Amino acid sequence: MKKNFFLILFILYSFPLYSITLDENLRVVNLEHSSSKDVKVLNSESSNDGERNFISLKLGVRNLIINLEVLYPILPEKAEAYVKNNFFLLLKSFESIPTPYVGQITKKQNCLTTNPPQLVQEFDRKVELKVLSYFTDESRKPGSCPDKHNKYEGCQSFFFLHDKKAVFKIQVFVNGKSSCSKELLGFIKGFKF
Amino acid sequence: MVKTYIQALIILVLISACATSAKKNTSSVEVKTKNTFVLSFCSVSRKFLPIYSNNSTYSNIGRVFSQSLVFMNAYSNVSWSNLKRYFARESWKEKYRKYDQKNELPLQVWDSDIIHHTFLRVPAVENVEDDISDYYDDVRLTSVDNEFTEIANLMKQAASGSSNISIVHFKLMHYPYLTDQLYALMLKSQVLEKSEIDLIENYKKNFASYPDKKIFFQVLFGFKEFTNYFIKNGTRIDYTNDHDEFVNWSKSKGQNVDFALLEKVYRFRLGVLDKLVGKIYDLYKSNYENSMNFVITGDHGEAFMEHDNLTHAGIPYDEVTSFFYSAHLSGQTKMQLVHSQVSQKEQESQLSFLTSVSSVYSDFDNFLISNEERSSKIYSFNCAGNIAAIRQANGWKGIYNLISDEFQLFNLNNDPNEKVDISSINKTIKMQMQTNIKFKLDRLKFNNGTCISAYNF
Repeated sequence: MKKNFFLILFILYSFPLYSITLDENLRVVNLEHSSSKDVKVLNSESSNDGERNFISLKLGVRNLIINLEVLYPILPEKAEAYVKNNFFLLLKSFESIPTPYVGQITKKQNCLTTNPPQLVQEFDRKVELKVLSYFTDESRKPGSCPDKHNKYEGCQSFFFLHDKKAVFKIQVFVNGKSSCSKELLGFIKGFKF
Repeated sequence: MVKTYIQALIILVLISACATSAKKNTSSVEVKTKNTFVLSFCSVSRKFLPIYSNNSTYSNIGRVFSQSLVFMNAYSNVSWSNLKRYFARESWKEKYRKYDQKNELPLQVWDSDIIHHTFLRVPAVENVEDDISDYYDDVRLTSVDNEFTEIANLMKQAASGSSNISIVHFKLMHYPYLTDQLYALMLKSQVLEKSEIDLIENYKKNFASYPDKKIFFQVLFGFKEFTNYFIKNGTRIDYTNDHDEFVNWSKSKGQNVDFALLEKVYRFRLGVLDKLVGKIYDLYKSNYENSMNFVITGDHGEAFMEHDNLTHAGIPYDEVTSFFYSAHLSGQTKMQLVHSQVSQKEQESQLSFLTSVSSVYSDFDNFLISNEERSSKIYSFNCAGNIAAIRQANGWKGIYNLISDEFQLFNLNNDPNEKVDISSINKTIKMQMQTNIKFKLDRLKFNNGTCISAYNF
């Protein structure tokens, strides 16, 4: 009896962990992924401000960690500003941070010349994908300069789905052995737009 | 028959005209308005001032506070801008329509001439760069006494206009930068309390003899020549406003900086400011008390290494975003503390409101609440726009690095100095704040200039 009780408790406790798939998390925006069953949802958080919703997922895909964020509902022009501002900040993080006071000189290590970030624009089934790839160190922060023994590649992609009024941000890091953008684009291709 | 009809028509028209006139008379009750004169000071850390601090010695500023509304919770949205930039926004006009509809405020004047004067005054000559001139209208070499003469003229002009707000913006807490030697000498002289006018005259006299003439405005602590001067044993640092780099530097070299001396210079400079405020307030009290309101305010604070930083553009912690703000209403004799949380964007509407107040409000907090002029959430950004903060009126404060995704959460009720990050045990609040900041990202307008603009708020 006692054994069964703990078994039931264990099933009840562990059931939600395995039952909430990627597709179920994305059901609110009516989007599915062809590899949903193979993707482990490691962490899932959601929030809203009364007008919009925000979903943040940490996914395990084979040996990769992929971060996925969804912001919805959002108007196309707002989504465009959101993506533009995100890229602006990302690209700026590779430059010396400017100041409003002339003469405040930043001598930040600058990786722009040795490892410039690459902005790639692609189309996947008429969806415009903007992908920024860059090299970084183990901190994984954009703008941190890698060295020989400490080199990671990070990719961030944004895209907007008009019919779902949702903007997506996907982020992945690889340790330099595989191609970050290839992994990221491969994952995006799994979405059933 | 026709004649009778015309007569009746004329009578009807006359009755109608009288009725319209009577209606106009009842709705055009003249609202007694007063001008508002605003002294705005750049880079004043309120933690050294009376009321905000228990042991402040700046008696003139204290004298103004003792007969004013004193805002205890005023925070800036961007720490490199001032009121002028907020008044320049288009959005404020829309916001004040509600007052216009109530016939409470003379919008027709504000639309054309809300800012009577916005001047920058510093004891230096400025090599005006493009993006700096965008911030300030006028730059000139001056001294406290010269300042006072100028201010007396401006105050006279401000009082003679009708229903307007006049703002004078000072950068007394900023220092000019010339060369290491002259600059260091100047600071040293100030610490030794040499007279301000002598310093200025000396500066003017020597200025032409320096070949590079490279003068810039700088935040007091924000550049390497100043910091070098205060580093013992001649240790040099490369100044940076990059937070991570600065933290690393301060961990290794911070112990060599003479912060006591640095603070002494800052306090000396505040004494100059206090003296100027006292002279201006006396002038106001004896000549314009009955016709004008008198406001003194800051635009943002300064970091004194509370969070490993000596500048004010890099991080949105409270020591950087907080500013002092007091409004003496014409005829006011007692101090009233205002505890509602407000940001600079509310300041513009409050100042506008003050022009319509004919007597001292008995409960300004209540006014702010009933008119939704307080901020339940204040968003602040660093210069680059990549670090954002939300300060909630209920005491929660979040600081979010939008690029590295690092988030810090503080409960200001228990931790007013923002020292203990409790984000790991308050995940729901953290997530909500992160979301709110992310939602801001489609509303901000980044330009190609140095900092994100105050127009965003």
